[in-house]
Amino acid sequence: MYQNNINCPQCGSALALNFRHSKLRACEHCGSTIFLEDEAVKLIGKQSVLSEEASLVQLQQPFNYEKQSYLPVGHARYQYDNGFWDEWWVINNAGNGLWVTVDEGDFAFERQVATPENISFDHYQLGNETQGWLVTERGHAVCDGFEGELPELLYQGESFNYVHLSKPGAELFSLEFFEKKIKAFKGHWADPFEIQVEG
Amino acid sequence: MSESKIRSINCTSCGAPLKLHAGHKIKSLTCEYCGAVMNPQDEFSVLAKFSEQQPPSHSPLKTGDQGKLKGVPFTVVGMIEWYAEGDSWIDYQVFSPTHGYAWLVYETGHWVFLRRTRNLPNKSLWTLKRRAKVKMKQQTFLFYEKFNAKITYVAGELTWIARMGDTTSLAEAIDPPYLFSEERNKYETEYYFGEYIEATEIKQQFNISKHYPVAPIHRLQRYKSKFLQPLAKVAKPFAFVFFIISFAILIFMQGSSVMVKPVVMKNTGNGQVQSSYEFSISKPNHLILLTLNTHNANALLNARVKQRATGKTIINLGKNNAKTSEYRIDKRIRSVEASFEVPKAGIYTLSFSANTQLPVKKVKLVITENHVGSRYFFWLLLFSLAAILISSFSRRSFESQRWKLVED
Repeated sequence: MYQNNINCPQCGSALALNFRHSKLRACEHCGSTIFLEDEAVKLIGKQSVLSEEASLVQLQQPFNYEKQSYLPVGHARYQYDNGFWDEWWVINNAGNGLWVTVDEGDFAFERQVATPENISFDHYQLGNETQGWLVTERGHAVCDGFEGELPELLYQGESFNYVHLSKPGAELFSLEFFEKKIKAFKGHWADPFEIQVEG
Repeated sequence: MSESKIRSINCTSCGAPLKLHAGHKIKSLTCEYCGAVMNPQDEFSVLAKFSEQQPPSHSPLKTGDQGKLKGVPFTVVGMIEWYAEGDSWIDYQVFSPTHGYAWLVYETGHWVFLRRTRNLPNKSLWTLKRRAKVKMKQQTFLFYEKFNAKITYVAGELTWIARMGDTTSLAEAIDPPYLFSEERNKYETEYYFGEYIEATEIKQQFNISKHYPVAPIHRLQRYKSKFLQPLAKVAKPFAFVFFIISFAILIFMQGSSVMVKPVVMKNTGNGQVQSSYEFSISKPNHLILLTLNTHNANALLNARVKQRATGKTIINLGKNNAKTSEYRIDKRIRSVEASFEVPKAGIYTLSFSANTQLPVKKVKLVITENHVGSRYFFWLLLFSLAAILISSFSRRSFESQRWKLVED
């Protein structure tokens, strides 16, 4: 697994990096947000501390799922109508990253995929079916904050609309509609009882 | 991991204090005092009220009770009592902040831990005949039954809006101790994966001290026998070993033949016939098998083996001392058989007599040295096989009772 260190430009603390392509690192010592670009590190703001919630997944605590080991290195939280969900950026044995979404015991493993062309949030209404995918959830979310290292830039308070589409066989397809971009993720739901935390 | 956070509100209908243990996915809160169904996602506005509902008299758990299920701490946050075809049962909605929502089903004293699954079966359960196979992921289940159920009581927090009188259709397939079920109501179809949990474990985990009656069998119970199962488990490898040993002895260790000949009996004139034969033994202190085959073994009286050089009796065989020697009369195969050892190599004499009152014909003498007896291994093999068969029969009987619950 990739390992590197940077120093926080604000407080000078040594910060570990576990993913070669990380773009964002939160300093757990001073709360600074650091933008990583090539070899350069740039201070881009301050983070508020995420409230501590019970979670099976914890930063830097490896877990096993379907014979694969994962190390959570980053964590973002999003508020939505009913509450919040957590997204964990995890690195597998091969050094590849993927997202684990957790919402009160609903676990999903997802990877970012190419965004379908000519789509809009309004096109996806609850209960509609598109190419075998059923719209099971749609709503509006706001980034509540993050910790650790992440593969993309996130901004606290940034909001977006989202759609979850499901297919038989526990398949999941998520779309996130930001003001200037759309992100797509594909993956599957997971049973939390099949996730074994190491140690 | 931690326990759920507790919040309190007052019922927006009757003002009764209510504790909330679950999270943000709760869709309804039913006041156990006045039966008001509230919407937690809309400032607990009252959706309906069922003041006539009666709490079940046989509920071992109540909202707020806590215990571990599969090692994970859960809190009972709500409950639904169902009724179908003369039976009633309780579904307890349980919540874990780390593992989410699940159901703990209590029926006839038995418990099933039920979780929603997004994995679908390879065919619809509704069209299946009893015992038809259906697959979910890599697991094969047998279709068990389908039925309609009606809600007779609701209390606490639930992940869906349940009201007294609502009905649901259920189809179930089993692979004990696991269950795969499909639930259909007028809004949606959901799939559940269940696992039977021993009542003793639930009682211990949730500190249930009161005794509740338990039905003798549940459709998801695993066959269990304190005596027969361990016995059969032990017997299986032993049966294999005994079979191999018996087979090896029969094929490779029957020894070498010393004498095989038809016996000629001489009349002694005192109501007996007798005969005497000499045979040579080259391997002392090895088992010698002596067999007299006849059509009437009961007529044979005594047989004696002596060392010719010393006249010393090596073994006395006969009806009178059968209990003290390796001697047996087998009426079915009509033979007299003895196994013994001699101290030295040399010539030995076998003499025996028979009663002339009973006809003795066609007596054949067979003497084998360096013999290895397989009889005890054979009996042990039979005993092991019997243990396996009895356990198998007991298991079949249990399975038959499991299916009789729905087939009668």
